[in-house]
Amino acid sequence: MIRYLREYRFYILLFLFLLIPISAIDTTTRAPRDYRFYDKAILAVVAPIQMVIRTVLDGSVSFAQNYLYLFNTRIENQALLEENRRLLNSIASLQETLKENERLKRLLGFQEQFKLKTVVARVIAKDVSNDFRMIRINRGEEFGIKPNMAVVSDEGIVGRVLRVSNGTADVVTILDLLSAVDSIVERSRARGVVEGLTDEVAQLKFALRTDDIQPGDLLITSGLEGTFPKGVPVGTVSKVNRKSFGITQEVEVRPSVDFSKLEEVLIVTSFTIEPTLPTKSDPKVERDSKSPAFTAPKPNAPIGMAPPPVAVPSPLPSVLPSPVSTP
Amino acid sequence: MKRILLKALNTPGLILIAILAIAIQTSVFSGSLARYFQPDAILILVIWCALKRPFGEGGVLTLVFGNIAEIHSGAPQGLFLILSMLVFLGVRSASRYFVIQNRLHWVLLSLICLVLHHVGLWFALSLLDAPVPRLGYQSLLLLPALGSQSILAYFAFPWLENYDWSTYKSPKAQRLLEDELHLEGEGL
Repeated sequence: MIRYLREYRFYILLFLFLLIPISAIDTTTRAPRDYRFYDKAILAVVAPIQMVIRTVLDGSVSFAQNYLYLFNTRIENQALLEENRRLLNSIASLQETLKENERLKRLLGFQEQFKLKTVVARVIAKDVSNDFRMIRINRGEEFGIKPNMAVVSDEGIVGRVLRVSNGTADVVTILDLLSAVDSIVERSRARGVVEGLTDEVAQLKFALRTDDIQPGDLLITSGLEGTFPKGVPVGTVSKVNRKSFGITQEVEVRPSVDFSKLEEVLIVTSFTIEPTLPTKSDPKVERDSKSPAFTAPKPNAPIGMAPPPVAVPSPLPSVLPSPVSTP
Repeated sequence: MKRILLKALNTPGLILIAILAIAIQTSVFSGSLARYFQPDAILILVIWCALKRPFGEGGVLTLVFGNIAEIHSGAPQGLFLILSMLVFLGVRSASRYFVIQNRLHWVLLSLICLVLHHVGLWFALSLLDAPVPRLGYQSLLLLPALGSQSILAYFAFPWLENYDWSTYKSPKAQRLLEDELHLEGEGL
C-alpha cells in the first residue's frame, strides 16, 4: 500500500491540488458568505496592518499638502514660518475636523431622513483585484454587523455586506459585477436591477423597452429585496440605448455615490418601513398613481386597511434590541 | 541548530510575507487612481513556488496563497484558489521549456502569468454564469497593472532568492548545510 502511495505520490497530489479548489468553488456568486476560522486568523493579522497603513498614508498626504508646499518660505523668514506653520497646521487640522464633521452631519441627516439604525464605519482597504470592486470597512461583528446588511452614504447606496469578521466587514459595492440592487426610476416608476459594469458606471438590467426612462432620471431603491430601505438614491441614468426590437433596453447608470472619494459609510443595522397615507391634494400621488407599480391605498379605503409600520430587521435579525421608533 | 531553525521557518515566513504583501497591496493601492497600478504580489509568490519548491510543498503553499487572496476580494468563492493552482501547475509544467537567467526573464514570466491569470478569471466568471467585465475596458485597465507588476517582479524575485539563501532553502545553501551536518556527523 505504502509502496503504491510512494509510486503514485505525484498523481495523488495532483488530484488533490485540483480537487480542493474545485470543491471550494461556490456557484452562488451573490450569496453572502462567512469567514472560516483560518480566514479570521489571517484577517486578525492583516486588518490592523491595513488600518495602520491607511492612517499613515492619510497623515502623509495631509502632511505633504499642509507642510511641504511651504518649505521655500521658511528660507525667507524662519521665525515667521515657524509661527505660520504651526497656525497652518492647526487650521488644516481644524479644516479636516470641519470637513469630517460636515460629512458625518450629512450622514446623520441621511440616517434621520430614512429612519435608519446605523453604524458609522471608515473605508480601510479595497479589493485585491481590479476586476471586483469590494471595499473593507473597520466595523465588524462586534458592532452588530451581519452579512447582507445595507451600506449607504449621505449620497446614496454604497452596497451590501458580503462577510464579516470581528473588527472588519467586506462590502460589495454597487459597481461590483456581482452586485444587484432592485431599483425603480423615481419619475416613471419603471423597474429594473442595477448591476455593476465598470469603475464609474453601473447598468440597469431587465428594464422593459417600453418603459419611460430618460437620461437624467433618478433611480431609487425599490425596497423589495428587504436589504435596502425604499427610496434611497442609487444613481442617475446617464445613457439610454433603446433598439427598435427586443424586450429590454440598455440603460447606463452613474451611481449617486462618488466611490473615488468614499471615506465614511453607514451600515444599516435595521430600518423602519413607514407607509404613508397619501392625500388627494398631494401632486406626487397623482403622478405616482398612474404607474402600475404604485400600491398606495385608495383615498376612501378605511384607515385600518393600511399596513402598520413594519420594522425590518435588515436583513438578518439584528443584535440591536429594538428597531428605531418613528417620531 | 540556528540554520536548521531558519530553514524550518522559511515556509511560515513565506506565508507571513504573503499576508504582509497583501495588506500593503490592498491599502496602499486603494486610492481611486492608485488601484489601477495594483500589482499582484500573490502571483509572484505562486510563480516562485512553482519554480523553486518541491511539488507537494509548492502546491500546498499555492493553496494557502490563493486563500489569502480570496479573503481580500469579492470574487466568487474558490475562484482565486483554482486560478492560483492553474498558474502553479502551468508554470511548473512549462518550466522544462524555458530557462531563467536574469531578472528580465522573471519579469517576462510574471507578465505572461498576469495576463493569463486575468484571461482565466474572465473565462471562469463566464463559466460560473457571473457577469463578465467588459473585456476591452478591463484589458485597458490591465496596462498600468502590467507596468507595476514588472517593477515588483524586477525587485521581488531577487529578494526572494536572497530570502531562500539566508534561510538555507535555496539548493546551494541547502547543500552547504547538508555538507556541514555530514561533517559534524563524522566528528569533524
